[in-house]
Amino acid sequence: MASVRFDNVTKKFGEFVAVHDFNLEIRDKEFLVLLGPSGCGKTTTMRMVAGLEEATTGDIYINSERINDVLPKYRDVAMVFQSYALYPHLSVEDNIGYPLKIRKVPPEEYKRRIGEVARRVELDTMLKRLPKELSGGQRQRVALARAIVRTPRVFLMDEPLSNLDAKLRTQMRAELKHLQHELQVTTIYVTHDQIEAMTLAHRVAVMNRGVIEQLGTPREIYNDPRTLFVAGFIGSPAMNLIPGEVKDGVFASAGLRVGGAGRISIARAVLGVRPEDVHAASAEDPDVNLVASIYSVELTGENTLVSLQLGGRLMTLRADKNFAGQIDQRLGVRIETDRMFLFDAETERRVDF
Amino acid sequence: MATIRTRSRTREMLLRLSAYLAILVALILTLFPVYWIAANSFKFDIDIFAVPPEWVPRNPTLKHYDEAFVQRPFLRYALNSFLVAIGTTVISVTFGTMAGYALARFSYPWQWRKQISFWILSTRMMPPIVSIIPLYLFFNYFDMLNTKSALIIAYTAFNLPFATWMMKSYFQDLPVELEEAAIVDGDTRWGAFVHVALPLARPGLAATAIFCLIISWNEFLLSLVITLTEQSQTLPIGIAGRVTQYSTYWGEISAAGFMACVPIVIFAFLVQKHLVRGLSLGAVKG
Amino acid sequence: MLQTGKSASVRRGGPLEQWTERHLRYLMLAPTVLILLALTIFPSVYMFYAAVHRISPNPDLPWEFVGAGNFARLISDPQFHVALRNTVVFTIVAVTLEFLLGLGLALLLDRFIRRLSFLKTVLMIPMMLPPIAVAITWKLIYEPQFGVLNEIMFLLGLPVQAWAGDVNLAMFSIIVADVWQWTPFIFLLMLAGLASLPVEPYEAAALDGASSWRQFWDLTLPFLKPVIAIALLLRVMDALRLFDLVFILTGGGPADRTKVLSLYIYQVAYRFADPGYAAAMSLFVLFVTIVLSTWFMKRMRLAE
Repeated sequence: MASVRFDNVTKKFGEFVAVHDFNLEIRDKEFLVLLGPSGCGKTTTMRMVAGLEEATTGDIYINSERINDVLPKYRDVAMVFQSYALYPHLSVEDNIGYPLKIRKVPPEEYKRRIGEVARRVELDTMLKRLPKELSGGQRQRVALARAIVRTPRVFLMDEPLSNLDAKLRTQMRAELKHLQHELQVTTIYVTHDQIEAMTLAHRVAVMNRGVIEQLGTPREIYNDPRTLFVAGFIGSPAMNLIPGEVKDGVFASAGLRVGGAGRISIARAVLGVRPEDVHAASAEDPDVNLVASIYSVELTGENTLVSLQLGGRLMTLRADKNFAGQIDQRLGVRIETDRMFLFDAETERRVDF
Repeated sequence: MATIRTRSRTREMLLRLSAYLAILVALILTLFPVYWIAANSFKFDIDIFAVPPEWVPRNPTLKHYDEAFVQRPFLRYALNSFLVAIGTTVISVTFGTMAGYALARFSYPWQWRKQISFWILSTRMMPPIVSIIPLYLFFNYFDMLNTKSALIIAYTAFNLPFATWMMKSYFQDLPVELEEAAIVDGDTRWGAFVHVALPLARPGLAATAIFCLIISWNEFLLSLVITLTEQSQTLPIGIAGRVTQYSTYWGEISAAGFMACVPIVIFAFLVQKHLVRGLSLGAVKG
Repeated sequence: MLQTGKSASVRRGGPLEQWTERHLRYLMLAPTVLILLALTIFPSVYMFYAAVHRISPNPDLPWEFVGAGNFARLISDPQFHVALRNTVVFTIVAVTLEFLLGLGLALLLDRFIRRLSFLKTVLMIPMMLPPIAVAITWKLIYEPQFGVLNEIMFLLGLPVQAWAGDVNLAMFSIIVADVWQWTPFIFLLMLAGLASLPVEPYEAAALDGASSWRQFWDLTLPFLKPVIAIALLLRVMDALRLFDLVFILTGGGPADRTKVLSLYIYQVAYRFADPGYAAAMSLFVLFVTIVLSTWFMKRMRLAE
């Protein structure tokens, strides 16, 4: 039972502001993902919960207790590090048991809990090995086991999957999600990988330059990006962001005209539309928003990604896997106007219409 | 094409040849003096003075070892050297490890970390001659001349900065996440140092200790000034004492000198892997 | 509310633990800093105090204040000038020779050393040996009557020499012994530096058609610069404190040709029983080493 709350937390390293006036409440049993590019302050935010960094100003609470001045050992949080941080001089058993040993857990219970946890992460056959004798995936499991051996109030995970190969990562992702659901422990998870964020999180906090750009469920973040940054960061391939002008509800840019934005006008606007909301049409179709020549055609298996030349930039659309267009061929494009977003280029915020 | 290849092959041959020649010369030049003192320590006086010199002792004898270590107090000197070396090593490594860890890991206000590291390094650079006068007067005042404690204190002045810098460099090589993991797992900051950092730095710790032993064992000038009695003098002073203005006891000092080298060579082999780091105070990681 | 406060303090640990954890950075550093302060600041201050006094060999007589008198003697004392010159000559010649030999050998053997690791083992022996043992070894080799060096000279048909006892060869003899002991130091440091060189720039340079000579000047030397700086700093500092070799091999003679600063200060302090003047000279040496090492370390950002 634990919630974590940040009240106006700022962290500076010298002159550099890593986290700026940060406010966030992580609910009990919630799986919250801090998502953002490297250097956005997400890891620093998490380390402040662990007590590995001190907040420069502001308050951090676990439940109703202010923990700024609580020594890390009394915060009762567990952390999985990106590098796993396994103690190289200790066996798997001693690695997992370290938090128990520090807490002077009696020997019988110590044995029992290690056995239990090791079985759960399928390490019970290699308890006597040293970390260097394990594979990457196994090390990851040891790190996880060390975190769950004592049911902490909060789990902190710092890019725990980033050192695994793609296949193992997908598998571990599912296991992590299942584990968190089973243990019902509040979890803060840091990643720069949007797929991880989307698949794991109850809520995602997208961070950029030390502030939260948007907080919401994965679906909200994807379907309803509030800022230009979130729109560009979430989604693969990335959302098309095309600068232009909006006059009386009609967006116009080199060769592209899209109506349906009510009656608003924005002098410097950015049109955002995801590749799957752009549809290929015949170049002769009178309803198309744009006719452009094809720059590249990439078959991904389930779809075909088609890039079109639009002014000096490319516009991507996700077409059917049987798409038959050729490079340099002219193609018409229809945009789903109820799925498009308009952003003010000055404020980088979305403009509703 | 063909000519170029031939030329580079000739060059390669020449390079190889000169390299092997250089190795041979270096080996002979390095080993001969060491061999020579060892050889002379096993010769009778008359054979030491032989002209032309006797390259290999014809009548090997342990006479000079008997002179030095049984009849004269060289065993006592060696013991003094050993005790002083152990004393200063324990002090230097204990405090140096803590300070090295602190300088490797913690941040301090007002750039203290940099300033203090720098200052500690410069105390290591201080020539011993600079401190002998005040140390002499100081030990004289407290009636500590001719004691091993005085030597231990004096040697700590250069071994402690050495140990600090060595351990700092070893701790800097350890990933900091290991200690962070220990802290999050419920250990104190100090506990993370003792349970995680220290065991992992054990090879460095051993190397640092051995270097401290070697440096103290070899020290001459401070001991020369601070100690005048048999009960406190170290091996180098004992040896130097047998080089007098009137005569030099060649056999005796060869035997004692060779024996002074033996533990050092053994120690040197033990720290072989850490040698470059030790010699450069941790600055160059060999 | 009261209950919360109590349980919180239990969970947060006692005040002693709190205090220790928060001040650990100072607590761990304090013993070393205090010991070194005691062992360096105290002597320096005390030495300054001694340097402005005339100190009688008779401990019952009070120290006589002479102000800058001892420092003035530095300027007028010809013996001090000789010692200073000898120290500078020794430092420059010995360190230069050691550097050139060590670097040359390292460059020559770099490619072969992997198969010859025993060579590194053998070469490290001289510099680990007690300087006194090195000194008596070379004394034995230089010995004019039955020394091995004169035997070699004789076999080569060259005139035998007094070596350490010869006015013109004494300094040379000291330098040779020092070069014997410390060239391997440069050699090993340079090898370590060479081992850490990246390969790609050399491949690129070779493709660009750079000669080995150009590669040495444009790549090797710049890459080695930090290691070279450290090696030279340590060697120069060591050379400035030269004592043991001179003490045994020549005692500063003949005709003061090998009297170096350390030896002269020692003599003034103990043989001539003039600690005040010796303290003044020590301060001079301290000043020079601080200036030199600070300059070196600042340039190399060694303290980082």
